[in-house]
Amino acid sequence: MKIQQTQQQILWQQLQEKALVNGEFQPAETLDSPWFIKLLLACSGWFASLFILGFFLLTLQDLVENSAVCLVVGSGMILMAYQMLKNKPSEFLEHLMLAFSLAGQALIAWAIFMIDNTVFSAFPWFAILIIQSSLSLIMPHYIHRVCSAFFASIALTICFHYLQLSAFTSASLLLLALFLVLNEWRSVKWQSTFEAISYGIILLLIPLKASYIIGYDLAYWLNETTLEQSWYYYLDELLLLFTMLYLIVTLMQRSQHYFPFNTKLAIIGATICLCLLSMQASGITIGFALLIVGFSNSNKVLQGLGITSLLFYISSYYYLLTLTLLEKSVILLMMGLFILAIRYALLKWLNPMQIHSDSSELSHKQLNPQQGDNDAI
Amino acid sequence: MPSSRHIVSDFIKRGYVQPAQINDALNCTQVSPTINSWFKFIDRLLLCLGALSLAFSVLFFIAYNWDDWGRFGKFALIESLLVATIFTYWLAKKDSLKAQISLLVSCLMVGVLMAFFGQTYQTGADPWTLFFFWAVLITPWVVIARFAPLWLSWLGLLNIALSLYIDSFGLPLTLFLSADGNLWIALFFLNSIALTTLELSSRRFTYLSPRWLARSIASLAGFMITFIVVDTIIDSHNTSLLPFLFWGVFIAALYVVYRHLRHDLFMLAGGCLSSIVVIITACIDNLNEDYIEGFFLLTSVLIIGLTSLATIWLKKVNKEMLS
Repeated sequence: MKIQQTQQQILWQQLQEKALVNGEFQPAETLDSPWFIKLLLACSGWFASLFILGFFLLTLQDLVENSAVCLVVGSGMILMAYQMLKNKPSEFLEHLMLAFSLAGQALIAWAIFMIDNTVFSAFPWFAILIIQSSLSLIMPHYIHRVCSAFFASIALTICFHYLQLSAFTSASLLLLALFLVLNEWRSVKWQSTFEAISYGIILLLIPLKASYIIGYDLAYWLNETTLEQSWYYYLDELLLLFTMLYLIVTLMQRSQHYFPFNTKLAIIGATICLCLLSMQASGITIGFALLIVGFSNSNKVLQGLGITSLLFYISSYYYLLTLTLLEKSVILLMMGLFILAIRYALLKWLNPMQIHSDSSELSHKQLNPQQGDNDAI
Repeated sequence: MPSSRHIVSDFIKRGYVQPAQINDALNCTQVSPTINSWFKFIDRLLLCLGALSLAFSVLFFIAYNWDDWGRFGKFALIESLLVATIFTYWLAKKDSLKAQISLLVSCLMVGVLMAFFGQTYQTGADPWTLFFFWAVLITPWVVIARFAPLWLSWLGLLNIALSLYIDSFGLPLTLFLSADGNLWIALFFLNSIALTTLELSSRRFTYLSPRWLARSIASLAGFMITFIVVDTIIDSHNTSLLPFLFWGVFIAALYVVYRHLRHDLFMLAGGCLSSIVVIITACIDNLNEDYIEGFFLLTSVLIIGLTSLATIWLKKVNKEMLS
């Protein structure tokens, strides 16, 4: 564990020099698995749960027609998974329980739809939203939380559709995800939960927004109106703008010592203009938000998701049929010139030397915690 | 290698940092970026987005084929932008992002110019030639730019050119595969060669060393060969064993190179995923309809078992790699 230990020691020393750590340094034996191993586990859990579900549906053919039996069996499977996962079982059992729980959730969902007798109403989806939200908070397993948050986001999206609130879906999901990421260290106990839930929400949010470009049927169904010309579309984009402003203002508040009032105003103005200019290219605001919040927390996964979604949304702009290529060209020209103008202003009036002197002041404050503010947590 | 974020999170979770000092700890270790880091990040973001927006604006304008603008005006627009980007590169500090982005935009302008030339004079050339000669013509700039995203775009052009070529003319060798199979195999070889070249040269040329570049190409190659193998298993008309041979060699090469020569857990995880997909597909393909319930249960246990084995092994390798 030499490389890992050396890295840990370097960071430990940095913290120790500023009296930010207590006790003796003890290297961690293991760190969290990388994101791609977690992804591998999540995918296999999903597939395995489908086969387990298939097994139950075939073996208990007569019983699954009874909603009460489905509810009991499904709840039993989730409870069993909860108990087993709480005791940190072996690798095999852990994955088996993950698949069991997912299959149990599917049985419960099946029972709810049987009770309501229709999938085309808000009630069953609202019930699923409540169950999945609770599971995302309760289940003692990271990947389970990501999956539950993902399913809860789907349920929320469909609930909003039946309540004629589709215009609020993207902004609500983005706002919730940003809130969780920005406040992940508010409670040490909940950090991992907040992180997992935010990933689950974002994993639904990116393809949901892409449906405005590649999945017209889904987007049309969700909005039940002609999308691009409707106020729904613009209200959605406007709410995303406000969510973006929440992010920018929060980040500036956390570093209020760095910027004078006029600079803050300029940053907010630039953000508003950028969001308004990119309004026609659906999803760009989400890509920006993910990239910025990922950078603010040194979260490489979020940055990667931000860059990928941004590239996807920008390139698919070409295929948007509601605008002519000439109109798109003019919008891009204005956007490009505006962005380069902001960059010019940034280099001219916010030069690093000036910033450096400001940051020295902050460093001084950090060395004297009594003077510093801890609002950023 | 674990990031600072992971390590500091671990310190906080183990209670070494007091809750009131978490923010200071994150600032001190630069998990929360400093103002200088923010400045660099925003500067780079704005430069990339601004330059690409302008370049795509020209691309869309030419694609619109506006009659009110004559061909002379359009040629003048593209060529003057081409000259302007090269001039910007010449003025900029070499190896700076500004220089690299200038060359990226000029490479894009070359493609726009070629497409517009073909559209204006109706040369009748096959579509693959546009992408192939575009890649050939920009090669010197790609080499000069020393910019990983430009190399990836260049490889993307070659992928498009090859797929269009095979779509029109097929492969000289049939390999006993379907037309689609031939196409996927050819693309798999192209990307495998690119990956091999990249890994051999990335130690010498540091700008090719970001792992995302090799991982993207490997993911592409891995996806293609896995897809062909799965397709061969499912399609009963496909009797060729070549895809299995290529897949076996690819997985073995991944293991040897990234386990022993150049440690990369992502590549090994990708190899595990590919193997699990192939084994499960083979299992499903041999489904016995008389015992379908048992088959469902067996398949789910097999998926979980294989994933558990893969995870245990990957965690063990990760531990070794960090030591």
